[in-house]
Amino acid sequence: MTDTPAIELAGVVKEFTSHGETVQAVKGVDLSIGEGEFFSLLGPSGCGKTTTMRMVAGFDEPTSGRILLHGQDVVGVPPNRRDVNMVFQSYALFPHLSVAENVAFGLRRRKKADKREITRRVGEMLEVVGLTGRERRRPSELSGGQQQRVALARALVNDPRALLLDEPLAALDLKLRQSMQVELKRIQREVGITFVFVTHDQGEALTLSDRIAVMNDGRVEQLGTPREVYERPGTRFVAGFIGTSNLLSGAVTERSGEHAVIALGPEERIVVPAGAAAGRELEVTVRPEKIDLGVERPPGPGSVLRGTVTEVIYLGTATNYNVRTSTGADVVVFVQNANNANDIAVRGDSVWLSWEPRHSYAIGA
Amino acid sequence: MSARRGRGLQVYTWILVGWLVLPIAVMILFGFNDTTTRQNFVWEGFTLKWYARLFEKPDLTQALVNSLFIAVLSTAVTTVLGTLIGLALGRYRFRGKGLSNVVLFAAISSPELVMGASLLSMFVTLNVPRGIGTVVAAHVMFSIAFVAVTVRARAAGLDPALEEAAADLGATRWETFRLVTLPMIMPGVLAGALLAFALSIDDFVITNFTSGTTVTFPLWVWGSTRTGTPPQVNVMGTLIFAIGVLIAIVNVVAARRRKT
Repeated sequence: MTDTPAIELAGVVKEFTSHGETVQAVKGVDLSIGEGEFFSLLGPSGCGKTTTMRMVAGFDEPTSGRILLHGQDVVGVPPNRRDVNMVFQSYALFPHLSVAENVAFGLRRRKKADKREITRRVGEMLEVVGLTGRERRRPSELSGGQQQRVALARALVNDPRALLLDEPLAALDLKLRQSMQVELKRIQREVGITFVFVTHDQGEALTLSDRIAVMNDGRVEQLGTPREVYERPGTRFVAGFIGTSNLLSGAVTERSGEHAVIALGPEERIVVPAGAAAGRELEVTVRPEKIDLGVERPPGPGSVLRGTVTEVIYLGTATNYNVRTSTGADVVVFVQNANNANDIAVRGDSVWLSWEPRHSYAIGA
Repeated sequence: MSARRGRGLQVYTWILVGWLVLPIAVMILFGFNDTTTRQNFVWEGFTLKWYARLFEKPDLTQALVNSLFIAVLSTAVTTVLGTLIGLALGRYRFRGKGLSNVVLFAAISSPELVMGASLLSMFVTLNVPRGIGTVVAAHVMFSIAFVAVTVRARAAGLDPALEEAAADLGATRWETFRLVTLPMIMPGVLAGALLAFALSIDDFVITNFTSGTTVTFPLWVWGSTRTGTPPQVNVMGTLIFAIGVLIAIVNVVAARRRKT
């Protein structure tokens, strides 16, 4: 990574006016995306992620704030003079042009290369995306996955400073989507270009990204590596949006070394590695796969809860247990079907839940 | 059951084809009629002499030339202006869009007689000398809506991301239009242009009001019916029809070749 970030957003706000009403789609976003990074903007529809990307591409101008590409403010610069390229959700391939002509479009416009050079680079790029031999086909003659690759090649062949991808895999079926994820990662490594990836699919973002910005309601809720965002959700929204998360709450009753303890009875407690003082209300998340489920109360210093199994869902590689705890919270437990030939518990069984202190995470603490 | 229904459908289809083709067939046939009188209603034998003597009547020839000139010029103007209107209406939201749509619809639906009469009174009031110029203006006026509507339909179905993609790849606004937008709406533009040409070349009512002393092909034919329409008129009609059929065939062949 060089010192200058590939893309920088500072206090970016975007307002739209429709029928005399002003709506803020982006409410002040600050981001710094490094050179060669695979960066995801993740969030539900309407969270402002696509608008943010469109402002980087130049299709929308921010109401206020600055956008810098390699340190240069590009606000007001039209899209055809910004050194970024975009892969559209609909691919937006030119239907009247062949695959090779589609890919060559950008090179011809920027007049950087002569005819021979263009042909060579188009050929190379089609090889990278695995479409050699389809140069003369029309986009309509290709499958969805192939069209996706043409769209990628058409953008990458220009050697942009950054590649923007707007939900590029949303139109593909599950199998194809998974194989394209692997492809995308490989291509990004091969070309070494900064990728900014907009998606509402948390699994996709976790799989592909170096870093993720989780967006909600026009703001960045959390920025971090996939592991940080998943294991240390900064807000309630992030905890709920990414993966399945169990939310528990209670007031701190005592402190035990580095940990805050929420005692919920003589035998039940939640242990959290947090500096909160006694009396403070805490919201704690714990991921389903971190919880152990057993019929006897386990020893040890960690969190322990008692509950009744309300549902057992067999998933093949694993089993999900839905447990209603004695405090009334519903907790999901994810157990790998590794060695246990039989189910640990059935519906209606009384069980003990336990996890190590480090797997509790206090939101906002 | 289904075989009988199939037969019925066949018969119906052929009746319909006959209904459409019969008048044209009669026109073509009487271009080969070896008529000796001023009237060309009775079959008197086969001849090719009218083809040889096609341009024998200078005023008829001049009328045909006038019609072709007016049709080509008004089609060219209409296609450019109508395409721009259609693009604006199909692609963008702007103040006055609803009104523009209403005006277009009015231009298509208002009776020719009313339009012709009002155009004449307008030209007279403004003291504009009637002639080829006023006819071209009138033809542009009534055919522009047809081009605008066909282009609008095409433009509305365009993915807006296509133009954004072109800009993203470095195309200027003009390049985007020339290389992406125009090729995409071309079928609509061509359909509109053909409509405009067809409407112009055989227009009678509005032309009659706005032409002054200029005579077009339809006006000449109308005038001749009182004294007898010469077979050259049938021949010219046949040739115009043949050119139309030729264009249609070329279009079908080209479309088929594009598919394979």
